[in-house]
Amino acid sequence: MDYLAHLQATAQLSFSIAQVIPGTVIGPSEFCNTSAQAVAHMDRQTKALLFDDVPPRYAFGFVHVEDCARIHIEALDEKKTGGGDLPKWFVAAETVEEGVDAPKLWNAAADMIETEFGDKISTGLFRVGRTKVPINAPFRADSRTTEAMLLGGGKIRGLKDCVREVARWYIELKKQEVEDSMPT
Amino acid sequence: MVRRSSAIETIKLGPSVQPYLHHIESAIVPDNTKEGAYDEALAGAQYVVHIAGAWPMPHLHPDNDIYYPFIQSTKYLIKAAEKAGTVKRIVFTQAGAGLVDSEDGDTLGTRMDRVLNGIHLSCSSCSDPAYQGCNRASRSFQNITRVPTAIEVLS
Repeated sequence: MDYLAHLQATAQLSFSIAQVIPGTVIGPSEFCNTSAQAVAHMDRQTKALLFDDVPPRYAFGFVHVEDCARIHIEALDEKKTGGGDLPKWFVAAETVEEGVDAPKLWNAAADMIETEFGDKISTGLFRVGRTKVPINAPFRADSRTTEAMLLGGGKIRGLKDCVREVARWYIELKKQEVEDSMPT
Repeated sequence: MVRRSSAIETIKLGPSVQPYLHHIESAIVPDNTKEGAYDEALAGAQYVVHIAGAWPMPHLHPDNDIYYPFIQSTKYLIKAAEKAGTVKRIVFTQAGAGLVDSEDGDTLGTRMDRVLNGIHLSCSSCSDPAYQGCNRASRSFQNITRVPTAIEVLS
């Protein structure tokens, strides 16, 4: 990062360099056709929350896969990023307000799962990992610069929104498997 | 640009890329640590996005298998862009894992009191908000240079 930032700052090149630091990238994958594939490709944060899986070792913020992809492409746009200096890097993760720590983030996501997917918890499809907080989460992301410059002020989707979408995706895959197993 | 032809075949199977298949061209760069590896692929390109990453598996040596190959490939990508003469911007993905020092082990806590933004790393528990004033943050900052990242390029 420093090497690239130095090149960028000293304008030694005939082109510009933009750096993006994504948080944990979360979201459905169009390459998964079964619930087993979905679990195999699921990020550790979501698995911890939806299935009470092992706590992730690190967390550096959270971002929806589509927002992350869009930020990379928007960062190419010289009009959006202006003619002046680029930020040292674009943070691609939802902004977390000061004072919020990882247990609070986890509790908010766990509350969402219990509220919105209570029936799936009852059937055993989900088992909420409220206590499976990442072991190391020293940073909170502040991506307001990224949102202002690249997303027209739009908000990056974070942990709760991403986990909700993955949960719905997983439920649909399961539902489809049940329907496919029914005799015609 | 990918390292294996199977990767581009997988990408082309994605439902969302079906409307754009006729726009996709690919180049195979099996060894991105060789000088000139990217020269042909970047010829004529205007914009480059450098994504993906080498997952630090236990059997990989941190320096020999991850760090130095990453540095070499990054430099060769930049050289290739200079040679091309047509490139206007490169976007590089950096890994959040590079923000921490592996020697810290599991001692970093869950307070999320260090800020990662577009300007600097800072620590809310320090009097000086700039990363230079914070030993903990600046130590992590130094390690940002040791980011395990591999290469994929879309041009």
